Formats: sequence, structure tokens, C-alpha cells
Amino acid sequence: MLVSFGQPNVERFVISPSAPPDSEVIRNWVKSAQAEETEGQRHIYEQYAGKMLLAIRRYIPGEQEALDVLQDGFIKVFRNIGGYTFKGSFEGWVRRIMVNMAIDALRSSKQLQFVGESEEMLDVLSERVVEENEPEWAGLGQDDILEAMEQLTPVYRAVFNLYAIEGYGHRDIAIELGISEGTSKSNYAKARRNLRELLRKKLREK
Amino acid sequence: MSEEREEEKKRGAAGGGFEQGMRSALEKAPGLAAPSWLTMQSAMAGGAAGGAAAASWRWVLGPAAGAALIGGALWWSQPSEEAPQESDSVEWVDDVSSEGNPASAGTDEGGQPESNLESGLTSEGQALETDEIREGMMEPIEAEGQSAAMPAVGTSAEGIRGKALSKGGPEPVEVPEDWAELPAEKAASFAVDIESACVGTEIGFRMANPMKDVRVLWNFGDGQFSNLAEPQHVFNAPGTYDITLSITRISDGLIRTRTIENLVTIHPNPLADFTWQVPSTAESSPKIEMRDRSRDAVSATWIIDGESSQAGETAKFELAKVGEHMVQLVAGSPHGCQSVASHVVEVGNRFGVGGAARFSPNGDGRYDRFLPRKLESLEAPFVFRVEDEEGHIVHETTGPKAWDGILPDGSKARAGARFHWTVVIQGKVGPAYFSDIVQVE
Repeated sequence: MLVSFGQPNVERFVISPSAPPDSEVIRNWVKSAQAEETEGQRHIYEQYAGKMLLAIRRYIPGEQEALDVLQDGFIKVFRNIGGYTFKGSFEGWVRRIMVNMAIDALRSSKQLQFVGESEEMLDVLSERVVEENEPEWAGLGQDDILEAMEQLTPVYRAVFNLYAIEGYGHRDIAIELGISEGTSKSNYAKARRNLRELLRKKLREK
Repeated sequence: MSEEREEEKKRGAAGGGFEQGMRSALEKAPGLAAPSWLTMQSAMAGGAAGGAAAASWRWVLGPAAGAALIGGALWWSQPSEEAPQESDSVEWVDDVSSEGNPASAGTDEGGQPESNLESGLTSEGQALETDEIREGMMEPIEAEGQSAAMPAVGTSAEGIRGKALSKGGPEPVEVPEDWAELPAEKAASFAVDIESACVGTEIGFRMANPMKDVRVLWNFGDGQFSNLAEPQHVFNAPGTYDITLSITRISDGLIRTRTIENLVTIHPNPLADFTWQVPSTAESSPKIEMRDRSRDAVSATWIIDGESSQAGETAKFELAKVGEHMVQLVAGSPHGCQSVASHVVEVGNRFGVGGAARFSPNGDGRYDRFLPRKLESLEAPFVFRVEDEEGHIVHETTGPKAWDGILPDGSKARAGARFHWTVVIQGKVGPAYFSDIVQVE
């Protein structure tokens, strides 16, 4: 139930095309957007909005809050698109902006509360030495993943996503979130354990 | 990707099948439905105006928007880093420290201890928040200020000292002469009982140096305020709260303010809940199986009738006694916050559902059939099952269908035979279990 504001077409939603476009095509969109042409901006938005919203929701379960971040994120993308130098994937560049915005939003809403106890280092490595009978994790749907992540605390969710999905190191996460490396590691181990359990259940239910 | 992470990769630490699977599931994911480009365009047009007008380029304005604001979650007040400067115009409290605060010049809000000093006007988000607060709360202070504030300060100080401040807080003293020149952390110094607690915990605050002839105002950072000298406050939502104490010298109206950011951290209580299952067959002491359905919990302790207890995600209890059993689940969060869910599990015999002790399926028109009376007009779903003494089911129904004494092989139950029956009634939360014996005559 969305109430439109200003524009009559607010309720119209786009779904990102699933097949990734040719890199040359993306290049042209970016160039167009760098020239501040709406044509390029529109293509970029429609290509990535859905994926980026999914990425943001991994950090921020609330739909409205996530939409706000998405909006801010794209404003930032188009403002700074001149700084994209075609090194590395464009999608990755956009995603990084979105993730940073999501973390900022969490921080300013005071949802990132870290607890002193987590200084203890769980035996992160030993926990994943033997994982027999691994289920088909890749068969999970996005909704399964979002639902399961929603059950983690904001901190666990952020640490897990930054480490496992975005590929940050614990040192970077520590800097990004203003925690110690040990906290990041132990939070990660706990988040991972909880998430595995939740997702294992989901796979079993399928 | 950092070097450190590369290292970890080499060791194989980050490449578990779980992470890989998640990543590949997300790569394949189609994404979520997002607002249209047109919406985005209009948002960008508004965004270009930037700054304090940020709130006007929201996509939608729903009830959630207001709630988010009240909660201090100013999601939309955080435009990108390029346009953060407008906040300087907002000055809520007259605080000398706000001039000298190096962090107040539009820096990214760190939320970290380094920036915890005082004024709190360090970011746009907070400035707006403060502005909101001013609207809502200045009046009560003005109204109460002259008449009620002084007595309130006095009485509350006495009232609370007894419990929260048993160490004996200092007696109020005259406002020091150099009060205006003191740094804020001394001029409006304060302390808190507990810095980390669960939702619903009462937390005591007190001025470090109570003074005479002043008005005080506490801002607990959750939209609540107090003008008691030593207030007790309950935070009703998890989060990290900035606490601000403003002290006004009544003689000249000079206000000194101190904010300690992130002073109080409130952890969420878990949402305790559980379901249970009863046996579907006849048992004299039925085993009831409990299953934890709590959210945000890491521990579960079960208590039956206030006595026996077990821990674990599932628990089985034998409920031998007929009657209503109080089952409680104490769920504990990772931070040690607890909440309790209670349900009544009913275990009964023939009296609970109006089942006869015997019946006589001899075709004489009297007591020819067996059906517990309560089932004749029961609205809740139920299962009624009759078993012979070997445990073979001879009659089973989910509707008010009576047993006529006919066995599965077509013969008639012989006189004197005893049959166990079970009725499981699905209640709103969980099932109730009734079981007894019926004899054929």
C-alpha cells in the first residue's frame, strides 16, 4: 500500500531485466549518464534498481527505509558517475555505493549497536573445517535469503553481508563499522551459524 | 578487496560452501521490484535542491514516515555527502560547546566514541532531530518552568535517592560563580545507572553536581523528556541513545548543556513464542512436545506448571494429570534479554469432552453409538479416534461422526471389550488432548 507523492506514477514498479547486457552497451549508458543525459541514467536505473534494492534489503529489511537508501544511492551514483573510470565492473561500483549508503543509514538510525562481549574470539576457522552433507545453498531464492537475514540483528546482518557477500576483510569491516577486528570476526561467526541454521531449515522445507 | 582478505582466501577461510552458495544464489537472483524511473527522476529533481528540503523528495509519505522520525531514524535526512552543510542554522540549546566543536562542520557522522563529546549538533540527522524535538517540547517547559520546576527538582531528588542512588548523592549546592565558563562536561555533568540494558528496564539518571535554583531538562534521545533532577526512565525501543542534560540558571536564564552520545544502549527483547504437539493416539500420560518459535533468541528454557524445567529448542513433557497445564517458555537473546511466552495446554479425560464410559451397540436404540458429547457441536477442528487394545484404529473422524461399534473387519465389538479413544482439539494456539477408555456392553 503505497501512497504516491507528487508524481502520479509512483506506484509503477520496474523489475530489472535478468540477463546482463553487453559490456559495450553498459559503457554507452555510462557515457551517456556522464554527459548528464537522462537516457543513459534511465537505462542504468532500470537495469540495476531491482538488484540494488535486493542488496540494500540485505542490510535494511524495512522496505520503506530501503527505498530511501536506494533513492539516495542513485542520486549519488549519478552525481559521481563522472568518477567512474571504467576500471572494474560498473555494477560493482554501483553496488559499493549502495552498500555504503546502507551502512550509513544504519549508523545514523543507531541500529548498529555493538556489544562489548563480542571481543572474545570464537574459533572461526575450526567451525568450518568439516561441513559434510552441505545442502544446495545455491538453490536458495532471494526471498529465502532476505527472510533469513531479517531474523539476524542489524549488526550480524551487516557483518555477514560485508564479509561473505561483498568480500570485505575483517579489517575493512572493523574500520567501516567502527568495531574491532575481533568483534567483526566473532560477530561473523555467530551470524553465519545462525544464518546457516535458518537457511538449512528453509531448504529442508522446500 | 583487501590484502588481508586475499590472505584469508588463500587459507580457504572465506570460501566455505555456504558463502559460495549464497553468493551464487544472489548472483542469479532477479532482484526486487523497484519504483519506476519516473519516480526516481522526480526524486532527483528534488534532491538537486538538496539540503534541508531533503524530506520533500521522499518517494512515499506513509504512516511509517512519521514513526521513523519519532524514533530518531531519520532515514531520509541523510542526503549524500555533497550537500550536508545546512545544518549549522539549527541551534537548539544555547551551548558554548557547539561553537568550539570541531566535529560540527558537516563531517560524516561517525557515531564513534571519539566524537562523543558534547553538543550533538554534529550532523544533519541530529540537527533535524533536535529541531523536531524543539517543536514538540519547548512549550511544556515554558509552561512548567516558572511554577513547577523548582519543587519538582527538590522532591524528585529526595524521592529517588533512596533507591537508585543509595550511595548518597551530593546535596544541591549553589551554582558556582564560574559556571558560565566551565566546559560543558563539568557544567552539566551527569551519570547513569546502567549503560546497557534490555527494553523495558528502568534506568536512573542523576546530575553529578546537583545545584540550587536551576531548572533541569533531560532529553533521553527517544522523544521523552524529564525535568526531574534524578529521573528514572524506561526505553521502549532498542537502540543506542544520546542523553542530553540542560541546566538553566533561573536567575539569568543561562543554559548549559551536555550531550553524551551513545550513552545508553538498549537491547531488544526476544519475541518468545512456541507451539506444541500432542500424541494422536491414546496414552495415559501423554507426552507433549514443545517447539520453540521465538525470534531473536538464542536460549530457551521451558517451565511446566511452575515446576519442572528443561532447556533446548524442543522439549517433551509428560502431562499425567488431567487439567490445564501452564507451559512457559523463557527465551533469552544474545544480549541476555529475556521474555516469556505462556500457553495453557489442556489434558483431559472423558469428563473434559463429555464422553460416556460405556455404550451398547446392540440396535435397541439406546446408547448404540459412541461420540463424546462436546464433539457434536464443536466449532474448532478436531480428530476423534478409537483404538482397540492392540492399538489398531477402529474409528477415526474429523467430524461429529459417532462410532457404531463396528470393527474394520465388519464384525461388531463384543460385549466387555475396552477401547481407548483420543480427541485432539485444535485451539487457537495449539492442541488440547483428551483420552479415556470406553467399554462395550
